[in-house]
Amino acid sequence: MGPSAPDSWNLYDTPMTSRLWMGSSHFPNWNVFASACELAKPGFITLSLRRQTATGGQSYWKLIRSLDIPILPNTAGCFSAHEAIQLAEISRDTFETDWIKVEVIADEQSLHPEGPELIRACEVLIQKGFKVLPYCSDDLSICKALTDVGCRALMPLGAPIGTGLGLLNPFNLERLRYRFPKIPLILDAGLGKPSQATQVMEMGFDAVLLNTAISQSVNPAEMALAFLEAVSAGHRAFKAVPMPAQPNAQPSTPSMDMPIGDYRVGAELYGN
Amino acid sequence: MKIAIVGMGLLGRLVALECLRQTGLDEELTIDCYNSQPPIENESIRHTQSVGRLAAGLLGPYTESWHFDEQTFEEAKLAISYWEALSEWLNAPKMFNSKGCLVACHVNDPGALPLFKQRMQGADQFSLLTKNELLKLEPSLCSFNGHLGLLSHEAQIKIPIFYRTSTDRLLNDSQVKWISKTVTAKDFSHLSKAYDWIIDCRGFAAKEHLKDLRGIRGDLIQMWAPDVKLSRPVRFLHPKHPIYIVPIGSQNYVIGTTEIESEDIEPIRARNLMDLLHTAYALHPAFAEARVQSIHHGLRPTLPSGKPDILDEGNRITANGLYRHGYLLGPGIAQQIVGMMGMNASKKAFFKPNTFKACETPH
Repeated sequence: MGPSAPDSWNLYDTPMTSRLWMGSSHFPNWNVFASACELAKPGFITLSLRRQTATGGQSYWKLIRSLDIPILPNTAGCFSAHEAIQLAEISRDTFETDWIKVEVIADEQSLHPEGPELIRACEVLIQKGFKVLPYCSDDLSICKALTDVGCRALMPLGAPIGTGLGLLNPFNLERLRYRFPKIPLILDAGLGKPSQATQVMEMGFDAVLLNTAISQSVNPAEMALAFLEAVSAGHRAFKAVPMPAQPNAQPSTPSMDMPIGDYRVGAELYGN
Repeated sequence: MKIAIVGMGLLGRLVALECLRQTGLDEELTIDCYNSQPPIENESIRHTQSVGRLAAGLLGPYTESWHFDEQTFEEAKLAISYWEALSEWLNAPKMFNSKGCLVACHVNDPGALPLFKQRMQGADQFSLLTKNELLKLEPSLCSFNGHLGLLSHEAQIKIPIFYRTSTDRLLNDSQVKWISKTVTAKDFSHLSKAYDWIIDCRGFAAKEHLKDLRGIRGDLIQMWAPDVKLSRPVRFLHPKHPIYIVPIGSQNYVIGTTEIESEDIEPIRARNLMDLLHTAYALHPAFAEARVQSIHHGLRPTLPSGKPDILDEGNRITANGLYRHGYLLGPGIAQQIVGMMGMNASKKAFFKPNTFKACETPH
């Protein structure tokens, strides 16, 4: 593939081009968020729905829709499968989309995903025809169970939501890529810097979802652009296949015919 | 000059007061204040429809600076001297509290303070307090389990006093008439013939006129807490909402406010109520024994820029979009409106009229 060839990927049989998705919370104001979207051109905008926003959020959704970027509703703040399923159904009616990012939280302080309840929620929602994207831990057994119930993509975390700590366990993430070569992997949560997005894309992840890293920066629009470029760099590097690390130095310029170099080596050897 | 001000919330009051202040005893001036509620109801936190009455009244240009561009930040700072001067003019010195604002960060949320400082403008004004400094400033918070800092250049308006004294000032002026009437879209064409100027300050009620206007909900509780002895507002760095705990006098406190992208006007959700109560309790355990006096909610009128704007349509001037910054940015808007009506805004202005851009085309 040439450097400028189109590079699409598939998610639930839907062709995707962008590899950067964005959350919509905690921006200083709407215009800042819209500018960030304009620069980053995210593949999805995630949006959380609660009962309260379901009844009065129309003005805000109208603004979101005006960006003409697909909406990915999520079930943020749910602590059980029952809650998540209920919220997903309200979201489908409200936003007229089958896409759902399923979040079921185990612990309010760390916002760590709950395993069994998440799996149960995903199983039910897949049966109901949703295109399910589970926010999950990087635990192989949980990820395997999610794919077993029919999830055709995974969204493992890099670090707890909103921390900006980066990839706390790159080994686990690399193993997920190795063990699920055909399943789209979207890193969700925990990134703070663009270099961390590059790192996970170099592993072969398919996309990155960000919110806090952009919205809480001093200049969100500029940071969105930085992440876009970082994601692109990491993905290109993955496709280009980085060289394996070597224990010994390898001269990048041939030195066979360099007499001065030979002379110095000889001088050191013989003490002249 | 005959002026009609439609909507006697915060901005409507500021415009009316500014007209009176700048024209002195100009007998030609008459101001008719249209409001859906009579003055007493509009003053009452239980009955008001004015979202400005339901605010915390914090004059926090630094704590709120994350929302502002540099120019707006500079204008927001000027509001403090404006309110100080207005409290003198209204002869209500207790309305203005210039003791600064505390910023609290719980020990379990150590990342919140560096993030807050990184995003604020004028961060050199912020200093963490030592135990000895805290003991002198706010001794009842010495047992708080976390960090406290001070922004000494911030201030607070005691909203009940402002609403009461401004109502008195307006009603006692022979040039001012309060008309308890709901003005609808149809009424404006009639008003534009009857008055020289119509100032539309209806806040969220003007949504039908401003297509980009949306409401962002805020919830607020008022508590009577005699065992809590705070003398200045506290901004608590909370992961979900910008929460303030503000003394408003007579051992009463307001704790607010949530920030929800919804125009829902149903009663507060239990989770949001718990967030507010929990934050108050985390700051001071005596809030557990406080009495909840009342619970309120309002819709902050918000434009996409997060800043207020002025729409100039012949003899109708619409100002809106004060969002959560009515007390910081409202004075500048009021002075600009008075300037647009041809009064000499710079002559007696408390500070230089700001430079908010008027909309060029009607929405």
